[in-house]
Amino acid sequence: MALQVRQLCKDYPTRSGPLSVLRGIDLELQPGESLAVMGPSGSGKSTLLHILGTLDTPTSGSVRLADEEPFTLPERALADFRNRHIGFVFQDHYLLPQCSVLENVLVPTLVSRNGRADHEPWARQLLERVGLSERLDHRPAELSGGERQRVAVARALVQRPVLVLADEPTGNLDRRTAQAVGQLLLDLHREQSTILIVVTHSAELARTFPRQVEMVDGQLEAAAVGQAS
Amino acid sequence: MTIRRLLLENLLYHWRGNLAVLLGVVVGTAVLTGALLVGDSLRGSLAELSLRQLGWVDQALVGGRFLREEHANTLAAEKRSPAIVLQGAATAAGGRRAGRVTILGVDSSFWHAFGGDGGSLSAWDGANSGGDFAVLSQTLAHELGVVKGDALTLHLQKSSSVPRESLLGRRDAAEVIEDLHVTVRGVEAMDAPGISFSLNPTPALPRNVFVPLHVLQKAIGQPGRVNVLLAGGCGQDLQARFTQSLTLDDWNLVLQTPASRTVSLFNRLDRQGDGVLRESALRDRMAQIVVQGADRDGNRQLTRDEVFSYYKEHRPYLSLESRQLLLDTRTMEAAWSAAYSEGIRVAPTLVYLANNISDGINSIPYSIVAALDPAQTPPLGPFLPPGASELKDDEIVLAAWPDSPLQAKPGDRITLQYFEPESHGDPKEQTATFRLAGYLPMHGLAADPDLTPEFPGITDKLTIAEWNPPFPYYPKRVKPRDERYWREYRTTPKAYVTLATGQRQWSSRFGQLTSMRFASDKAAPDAFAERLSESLLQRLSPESGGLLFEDVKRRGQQASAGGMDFGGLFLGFSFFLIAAALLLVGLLFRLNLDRRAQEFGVLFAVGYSSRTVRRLLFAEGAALAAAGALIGLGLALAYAWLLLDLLARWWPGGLQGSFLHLHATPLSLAIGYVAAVATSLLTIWWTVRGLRRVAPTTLLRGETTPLPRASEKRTAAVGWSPWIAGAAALGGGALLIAGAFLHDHEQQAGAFFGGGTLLLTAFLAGLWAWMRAPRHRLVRGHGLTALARLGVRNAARHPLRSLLTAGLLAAAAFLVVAVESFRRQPDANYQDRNSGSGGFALLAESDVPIFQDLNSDAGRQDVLDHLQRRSGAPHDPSAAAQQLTTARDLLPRTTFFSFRVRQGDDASCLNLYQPRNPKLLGVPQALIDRGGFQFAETLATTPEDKANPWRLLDQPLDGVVPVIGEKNTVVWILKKGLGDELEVSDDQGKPLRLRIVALLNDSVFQSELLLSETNFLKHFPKREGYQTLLIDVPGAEAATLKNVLETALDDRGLEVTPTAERLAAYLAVENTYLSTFQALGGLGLVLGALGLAVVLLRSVSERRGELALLRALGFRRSALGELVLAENGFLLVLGLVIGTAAALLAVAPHLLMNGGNVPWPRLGAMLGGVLAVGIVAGAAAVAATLRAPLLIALRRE
Repeated sequence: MALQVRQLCKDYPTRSGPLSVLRGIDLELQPGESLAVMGPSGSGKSTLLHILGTLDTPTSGSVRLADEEPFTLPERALADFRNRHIGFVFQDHYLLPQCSVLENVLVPTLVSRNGRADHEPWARQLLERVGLSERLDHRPAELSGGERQRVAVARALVQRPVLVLADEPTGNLDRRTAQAVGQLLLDLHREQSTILIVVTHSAELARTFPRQVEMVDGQLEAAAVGQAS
Repeated sequence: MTIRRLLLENLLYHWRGNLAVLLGVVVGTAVLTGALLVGDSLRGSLAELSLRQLGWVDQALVGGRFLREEHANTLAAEKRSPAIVLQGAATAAGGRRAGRVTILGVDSSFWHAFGGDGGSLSAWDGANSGGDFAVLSQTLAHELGVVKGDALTLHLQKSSSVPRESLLGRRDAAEVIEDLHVTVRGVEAMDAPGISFSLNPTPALPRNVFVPLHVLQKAIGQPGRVNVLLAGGCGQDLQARFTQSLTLDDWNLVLQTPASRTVSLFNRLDRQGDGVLRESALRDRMAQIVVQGADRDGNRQLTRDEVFSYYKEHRPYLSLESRQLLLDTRTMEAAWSAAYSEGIRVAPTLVYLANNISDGINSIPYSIVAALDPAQTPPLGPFLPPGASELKDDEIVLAAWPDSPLQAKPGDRITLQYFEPESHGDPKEQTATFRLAGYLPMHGLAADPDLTPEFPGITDKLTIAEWNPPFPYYPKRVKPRDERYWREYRTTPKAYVTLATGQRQWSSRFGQLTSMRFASDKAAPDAFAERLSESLLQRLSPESGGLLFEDVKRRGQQASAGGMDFGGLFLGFSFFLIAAALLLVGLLFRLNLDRRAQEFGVLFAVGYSSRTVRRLLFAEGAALAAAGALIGLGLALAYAWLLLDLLARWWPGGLQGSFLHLHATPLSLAIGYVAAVATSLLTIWWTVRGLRRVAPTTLLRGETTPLPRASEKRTAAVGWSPWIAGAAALGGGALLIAGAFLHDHEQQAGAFFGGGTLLLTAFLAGLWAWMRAPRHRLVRGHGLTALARLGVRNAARHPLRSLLTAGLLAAAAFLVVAVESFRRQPDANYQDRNSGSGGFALLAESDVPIFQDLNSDAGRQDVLDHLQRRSGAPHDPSAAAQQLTTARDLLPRTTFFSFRVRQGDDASCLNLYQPRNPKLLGVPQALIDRGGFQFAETLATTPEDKANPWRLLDQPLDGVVPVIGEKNTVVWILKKGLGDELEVSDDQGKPLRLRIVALLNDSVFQSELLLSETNFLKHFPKREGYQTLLIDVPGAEAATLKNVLETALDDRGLEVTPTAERLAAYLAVENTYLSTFQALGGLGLVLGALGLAVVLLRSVSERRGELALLRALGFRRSALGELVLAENGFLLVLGLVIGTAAALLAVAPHLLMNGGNVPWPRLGAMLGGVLAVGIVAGAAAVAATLRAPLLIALRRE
């Protein structure tokens, strides 16, 4: 169920010719492993995350997850793959304003093909785990920024994914809340043995991860941010 | 949580956006279904009107033949009534006149059947006390200016059993027109029971005058007879039982037997009623030879027995005669067949009047000549000179009359002069020469005055000098010896020729025989008379004699389907509006999508496939479409009502207010609902489909515009649009120029709309290219101009959105401008020979046929005589004298082209009912030779026919009659085309195929089909006289001539209309449709303005952060308003300018070629109004949005 990335490249067309954002990235992570990706703005962190999350396609190279190569799949199967194996947490929580907290967490299950009947109890459990068991019926507008992000974390985990991808998950949060959310992500990752990759500018958040890398010139290099205390 | 729940929450949460989409669907449904409901309403209203006009009458017999009134008593129906229905004219005591009046003679059974006991019925119950009175419909009374108690003169056609265009037919006005003077006893409202009675459903208010049946019967000389039988609640065997009850009398036939001749003679001459004909009664009234033969006791008196015995002995045959004088072909064939089946011998006979029989030296005036088979054996012949066994076709036998001045010997030439058997105007004399075969002794069969049927005015006169024939007659030519012959032999023929010869000279379209005599070698005539009569009746089919009941109620319902598919027409008219509503739906839905882009990005991120997301959105759209369409059905009723109201108001002459009502059938509602939902879904699907190309990452950024593909070049954003713009502009221009040279209106319309659409496309593609261009001019400067420039640039921010908005407005403006420019008036050259008027200034139509040739001296004199008589009444004698002088001068310079008319349904666009049996016109040869009028298409192949397509009417076609029709009528009303055939019934009730050989263009003949007069007479021999005239008179004198003719011939209900006015009336219908179309275009513009306002609101809302930032940078609120309004105004003006420019370019060829003009003030007001509404709505929306606090947005920025 490992994540294997081989020679991953991504070019974008521009008026002055193709712009290479990712240049032959190799990466391998086993379940239970986590990675913090750092780098300056425009270095390609989010692009890497979007490709790993199958929201974008690579120009070349391969991605293998859960013994499957998702980019070989047709569009519908790819969506199903994403639904089953990948969980996303964005900087902006992107909660559906028309749905309650619980409903937001359950949104991925609506198109789930695994036929499990325990979606709702599991969602409640997750929300309890992220400390929102009292807010199940609340709408996103009635939550604070940290609470919204915690709902987003719960939503990312509701399908028991192999890979959880977080794009600046604490970017919009104050320091204290950011710490709490970061810790929550790591705790849940350990509890569920997922592969967790976080893209962040925050050295503080990155330090909480056992492994950090930095995106430089479209390639990953080991980062020197210090170990989590 | 389920997908359904998510769906519901989406719908509720985004209720504002969804409400806008829903309203778009509501409008689309209302327009689409409303158009269908207009069709329903017209059909329903017409059906309702037809039912109201028919009242209790389900079936009616309207054969044009008079038959016994008693038939009404034995009809197999719950309600029944005899009636006379005639077309005529009416003149009030004050001089006001009305044509096209329906004069109905009814008895109280007619009113009883309508139920109730007031109104007209009370007048009828009072009729028993006598008096000639009338009850009028309110419309007619208003037109005539009469009220209860006023005097009224009805002008109607006298009934004539003898065809008026035959030699013995009476054609003088005094013999044709009957003036019936009545007192108005009642004026009834149009909704009073029975007052709007009509057997032919018509949306026009019937001009009915009801008079007591017996009064009308007396006036037209048809006592006890009616021409209409009405039945309601009919049994299945109505027709069968009626057919059984028919007698020869109903067929206008008489079977003379010895007994009937006796009865007839005594009825005529036995004044004392004692069964004895005295000498005084017999003298000069009965042939002396008959009196002497019958008076066995020599007492100079005849008893019934003596007469009967005489006839039995000397006329031992039956004679079948017609009241019309001539036996028609149908009767002849049936009689032959009946005689054959009964084993009876037949002697067909045709007698005619020779003006002169001459041997070259002497002559005899006014003699009866018989054409028969002279070799028949007794009692039907022979009529041969002694010793002869046959008569050749060029031979003649003369009666051996002792006083005869003719001295010719067998073999000598005998010349006969006679009038042609048919005539229009003055009869023409012809001559035939024979060889004398010999003399026939005047006794026995040769002295048979009964070979000649009775004819009032001739056979009933005591002397020849007293004759009062309808043809030119000179009594001075009659000598004493001729009178002696008359006393002795009366109508006994003075000469005999073979039947073939006689028929060649004297048969006509009305018949070929005056009698058929029957004799049996086995039985006496009275013994087989009944059998023969029954056998003959069995062979006379009711349909061939017009004695068939017609299910008028069903016919009315069928005709209510409408000549035009109004549902389809209005659907066509509403097409743009529907398209506009759908564009709006698409636009609004698109705005919703734009706003919710991130939401969809998340759904993709959590594993929703693109298809699932689109399905979810589609389901949302479907729910909105379903709900919106349901609400739209309610609005459709209001919309249809509005259209009906507009149609009724703008229809030429107005449609009666009470006639058009809203009708909605479940089918139309269902079709409207399904179609609206389907088209809305299609639009939504198309909008959602665009999401396929948008990457989830793009959506997550809140954008819905796909990024260019890697392979796309720098100019890819602009794409093909410049090429499309160029090609469309070239194509559009070429099409419009080509259209200017087309003559066909449809092709012109096709070229116009095709060209116009291409020009619109060109402009819009140009706009697209501009908006998608990679670089724009730098926005610099300061103040309002700079703001306006920035606003204009902002319009390119969402190219699709802006294009949809501008396109919506442009298309609406295009239609409004184009439709306004296409309003039609008769062409300036309408007086040209090759125009729709044919070069004729006037068209006249009469209720009572005209028999005179108005181009002849006699015809003109007749008009002048009438004018003198009619002018006697005016209070200003000098004016009347002046009019007479003018007429004397004008008439010889006027040429009349007279058309025969087979009345039928008006096939023009003025008749909303579907014509089942179109009116037919017989075109005179003179017009065919003259040519003229404008043709849209013809089947002409030769240069001569192409030069004058009227010649095609003379083309012999195998079993088919060539006809010409107006293109609009043929295509849109009759649903036929050039070369197509349609079927009508001829006078014999037989099917007659008509082939359309040419199509007229914008002519005055939009109500009828035209065939040659020759073919007309062949197939409609019973239609006599002329009821339509084309009048060639200098345009400047047309009004004077109109006045002269309408005054002189007002008793015939002559209505003279300038051809330009007639054309304008037809064009007015087109213009009515255009006005309705215009109104719909206006609604489209309103929708466009609404769309723009919504787009504006959305843009402002989206850019609140940006606007807040600008405020933070020092922009005043008013500056922001100006910025946004510039963007709004740019799209508004651009849309209107593009639409107007494209429309003006498109109509330019039309305007240049036809000299029309654009009604600038109206257009300016309309477009200016839309501009003002759009800007005001935009300003209000901007003001409302900018009042909201912008700090939050700024914080987000």
